[in-house]
Amino acid sequence: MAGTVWSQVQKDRVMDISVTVILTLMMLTMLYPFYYVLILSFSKGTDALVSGVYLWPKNFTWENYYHLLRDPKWYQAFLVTVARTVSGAFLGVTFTCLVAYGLSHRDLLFGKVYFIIVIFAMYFTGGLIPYYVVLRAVGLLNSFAVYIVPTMLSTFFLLVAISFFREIPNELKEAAHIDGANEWTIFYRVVLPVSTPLIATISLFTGVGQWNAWLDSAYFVQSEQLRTLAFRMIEVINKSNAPSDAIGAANSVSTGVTSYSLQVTAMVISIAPILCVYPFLQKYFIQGIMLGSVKG
Amino acid sequence: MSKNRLRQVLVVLLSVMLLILAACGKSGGNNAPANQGSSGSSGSSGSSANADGGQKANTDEIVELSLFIDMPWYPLKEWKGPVAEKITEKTGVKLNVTVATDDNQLPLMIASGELPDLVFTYFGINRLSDSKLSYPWNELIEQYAPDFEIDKTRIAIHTMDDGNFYTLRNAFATKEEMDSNPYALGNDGNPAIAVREDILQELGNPPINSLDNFVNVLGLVKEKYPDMIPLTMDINWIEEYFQQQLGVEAAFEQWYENDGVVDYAISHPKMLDFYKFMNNLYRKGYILAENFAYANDQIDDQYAVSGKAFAHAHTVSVADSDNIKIKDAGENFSFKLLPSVISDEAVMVNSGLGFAGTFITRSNKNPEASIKFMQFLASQEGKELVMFGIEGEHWTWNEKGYPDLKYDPSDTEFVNSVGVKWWYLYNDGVMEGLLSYVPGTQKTQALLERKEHTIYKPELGLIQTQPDSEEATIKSKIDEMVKNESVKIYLAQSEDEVVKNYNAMMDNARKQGLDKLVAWANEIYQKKAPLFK
Repeated sequence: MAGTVWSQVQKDRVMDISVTVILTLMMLTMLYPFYYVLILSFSKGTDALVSGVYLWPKNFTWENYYHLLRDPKWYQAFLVTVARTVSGAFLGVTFTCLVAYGLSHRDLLFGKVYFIIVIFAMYFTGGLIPYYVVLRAVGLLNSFAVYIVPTMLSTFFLLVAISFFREIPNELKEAAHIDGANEWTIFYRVVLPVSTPLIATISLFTGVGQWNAWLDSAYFVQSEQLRTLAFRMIEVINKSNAPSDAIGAANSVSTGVTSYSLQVTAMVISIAPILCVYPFLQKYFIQGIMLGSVKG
Repeated sequence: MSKNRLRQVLVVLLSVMLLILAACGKSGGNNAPANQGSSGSSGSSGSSANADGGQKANTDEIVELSLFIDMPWYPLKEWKGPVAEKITEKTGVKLNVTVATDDNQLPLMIASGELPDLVFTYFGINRLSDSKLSYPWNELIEQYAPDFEIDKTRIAIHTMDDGNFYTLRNAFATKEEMDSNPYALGNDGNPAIAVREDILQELGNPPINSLDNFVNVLGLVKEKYPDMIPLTMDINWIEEYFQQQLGVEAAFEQWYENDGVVDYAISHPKMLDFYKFMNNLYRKGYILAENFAYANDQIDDQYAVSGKAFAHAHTVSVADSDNIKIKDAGENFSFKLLPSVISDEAVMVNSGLGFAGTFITRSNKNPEASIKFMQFLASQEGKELVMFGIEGEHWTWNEKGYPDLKYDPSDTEFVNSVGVKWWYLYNDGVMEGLLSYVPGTQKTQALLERKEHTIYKPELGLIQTQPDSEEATIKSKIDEMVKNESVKIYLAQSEDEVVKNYNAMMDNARKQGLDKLVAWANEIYQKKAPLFK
């Protein structure tokens, strides 16, 4: 008997070791490209072309960061991006939760109609040109508000939030009613405090979406003061992607082709801040992906 | 009325209301210009024309015009620097520049009616040559700048079916203009191959004066340096050098002409020889299969600069630019260009019509200032200023007739900070060619050799499909198919398979409408060719 138990432990140990090794290898395979980008950002431009950069830069240098960050446009873009991320996430959460709370009441008049409108809007869109025309008609073009207002209500998270709010026991709300609370008070003092995972999840996804968005900065904004980090990154990368027939016809081998190390530096600068914030919200992310799922 | 019925009626009413509200916007929209900075003063710009076409600007009345550059890779994004300031001083015009982020931006602007004052584009030339979108230059010249003279060839090239021309492309020159100036060279859009000088020396300096010699040398390299890639090619320049050496008169997606009859490049009698040649290189191991799948145009540079490739196919600047990078990296080998012509059958046909053009859109607030601005850029003074910089400060004419530049034109940081060349919203191929003339460089030598062998057929460049036309669809399908099938042909396992795959590709092309496309092209050619006689 003792021999059988020992062999089982051994088997478990071998399995654990195998799984750990395989997962570690997979992790390294997935992490290495990111690490490679990081070390290239600390490499000279020519080193990115010459092979030999594997685990550490051949010639460690800060010049790529210096080159980009000394440009005041990047500071401005950083400020704009932080502002839109914070305000976009806050207003997105607020608005979505308010609308979701209202819609979570099953006895809401015309509730089904609102649902149909939300679902329809989630699946169908007019396209870029009608969207542009609408933004122009409401006067949002070339303003900071174009980053915030159109994304204040996320239909996907609205449905998730509705599902979440419906899970909150009615008894809580009834008890608050009996104590004299009105709907605003119930929402603010009863519902929101128990909705931390929901709020964190929506904040995280909305915030990341705001941080990475560049399309609105490219199409709907002309002022250089309102450009975002992601847009600046696209600019740096675009400089290197001139089609060769265009360069040839433009009579120049070099349009100021950005070295690859400069491009990756732009990427690192663009993603670093959000990477720093993410670990603090990670537990909510893991909880959040289960939100809205069918519960028993 | 029952409760349900009432509910249904209310739902319908609500939906109708929502629809009505959605359909109503601010009628006429917000017609604010796409670029916030455009102030475009109306009426006279307050300047007078001088004989050169330039204008002495009244600095109190600087006209601000918005310019959209439809090229995401454009290096200049702001109207600043000595050249821009000088142009403003001469014309009274200042530009508020917006550079495209991608190819969708201009179509979005056109569709939403939010065009800026000026648009500088090369992809959008056919689309913007429309009286609903742009002012015809001929009308503006007649009205505001009757002394703006343009040669008949350029007018002929750009005149649309409605009899108007809406732009003039830059970077164009006729054969006569190019021949009249020995220092006017072609541009960087010319293929070349560079080889390692040190390795060639170690092999005993075998001559490379024919394609067979070149292939033999690749064989020697493969034998003696088994770890080295004999030939690496830029993803965008794989074919053209060899096509030209083998006598194929047109690159893929272009047209060739023989005895007044036009046909598509893939139908050229020597195209099959070209495919066989490339396949031979592959089967002998002189080129890698992965070369045809490079995701960007820097991978080949990496091989060359790191010393892992013997020959590097790219443009005429390949040797000069590789050598700069090699020197920066602290290595001690170098590349030299092969001659531009290494075959008796070599043919180089220039069917280009120029590069990009500037449009004065219907949203332009000051068409008068705009056409006078273009007039200045088209003047000798304007062309020199834009292309070389400020005379005396950045360059001077030497006695031979080409500019002595006080800077290195490949010093992109200097060039971009001063604004040399990139404000060429209108310019010509001769002036741009002079910038390429830098004695002592391999590029200049290569371009001089090419100039001697180049045949000009700009009438072929006029065979252009219109956006959304049936011919455009057919051409686009065939081009996409050829791109994919060509790789199969290059990587065939035998010459017989090459022939079989090529014939299959041609059958496919015919099924997709090649004959119809060629018939259409001949119709256009017959109509346009007399303009050049």
